[in-house]
Amino acid sequence: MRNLFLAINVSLDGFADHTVAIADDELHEFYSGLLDNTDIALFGRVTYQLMESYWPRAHEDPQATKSMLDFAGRFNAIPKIVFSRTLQKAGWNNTRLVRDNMVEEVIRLKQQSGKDISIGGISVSRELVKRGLIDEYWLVVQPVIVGKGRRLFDGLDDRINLKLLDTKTLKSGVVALHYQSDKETGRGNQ
Amino acid sequence: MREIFVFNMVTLDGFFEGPNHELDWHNVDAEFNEFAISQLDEIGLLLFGRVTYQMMASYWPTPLAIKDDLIVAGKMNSLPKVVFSKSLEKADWNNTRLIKKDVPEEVLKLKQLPGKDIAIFGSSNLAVTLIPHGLIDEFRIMVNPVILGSGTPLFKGIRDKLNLKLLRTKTFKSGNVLLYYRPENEKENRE
Repeated sequence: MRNLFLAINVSLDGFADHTVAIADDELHEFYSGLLDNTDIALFGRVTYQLMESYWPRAHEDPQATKSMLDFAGRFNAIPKIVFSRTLQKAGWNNTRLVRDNMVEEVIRLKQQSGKDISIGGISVSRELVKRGLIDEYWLVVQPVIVGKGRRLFDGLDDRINLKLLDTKTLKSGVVALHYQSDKETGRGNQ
Repeated sequence: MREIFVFNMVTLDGFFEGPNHELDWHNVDAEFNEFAISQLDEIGLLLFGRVTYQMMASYWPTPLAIKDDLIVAGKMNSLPKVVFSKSLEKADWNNTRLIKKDVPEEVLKLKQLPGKDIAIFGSSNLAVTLIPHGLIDEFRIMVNPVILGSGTPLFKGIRDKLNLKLLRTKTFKSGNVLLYYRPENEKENRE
């Protein structure tokens, strides 16, 4: 069974607001590094569109740093799936659009052999958290209190206990917290 | 001027209490207890909002608390305390003063008094009142390894974004991670 991990920026007060992220070189390097042992990246529509609007053309941006170009290279190359009922097509390199049966698709992917699977996006992750399909979490805590926006996981019925694996502190004050689903008391693999 | 820090437990999804005010997810052990004692030794005054005050006042003076947490109970009961509330009639917990109005002004006066630092435990609404006045000097947020899924967000009701500077982190064997921050200066926050 392959490991499915969620990596997401979050404010200290639990809002998933990408606009407050300190997107410096170290943060890009951190996210690039998460792909070292990953061979497929899953997205919800919103996150997919956000990324697809910039990364395929990052090399045309004179402001793009080496870390950003490395991040672009990795995300452009890796096989991707976007889950959406409304998208007409997914034009980003190496991307497959899946319209229905997300949960079944994820279970199927996890059962295949291969490296880890990453996922980005709030709505899709929430659904998979509910089903106990997420094995690891990287909560990338941004040093800010925002007070409004979309909650990271709102409206889950059951609490989920996790096990802290490690933490990583970036120079910007970002702290990445790395957790594993607690198979004993939480809702781990099905 | 002495400093004020806020200490709060929070879930990994940013809630400080469950939808029915649950706090039973607090992940505490002997190491937490040692930390709590040393943190209490740093301070000379505790500030509370009504809700947290009533919860603590109904626990710490009881024989159960004194039996289970002798040292912490002793310190909580003896430390000088202030509760801010318009609706409370009186505050009976040992060494507690009730202040009914002019919260930011009163807090500033308390900061100007000599003594050890001031702490706010829980009391999210009080913290939200004081943050825009620049009266909080440090945030100590302990992230517990649990996703609660619903509840009350930390610092609910805060109007302006507050940028923070990370001071340090401390990882506990229980999986709690304590994050220490200072607010960035006002100018940057008004951008």
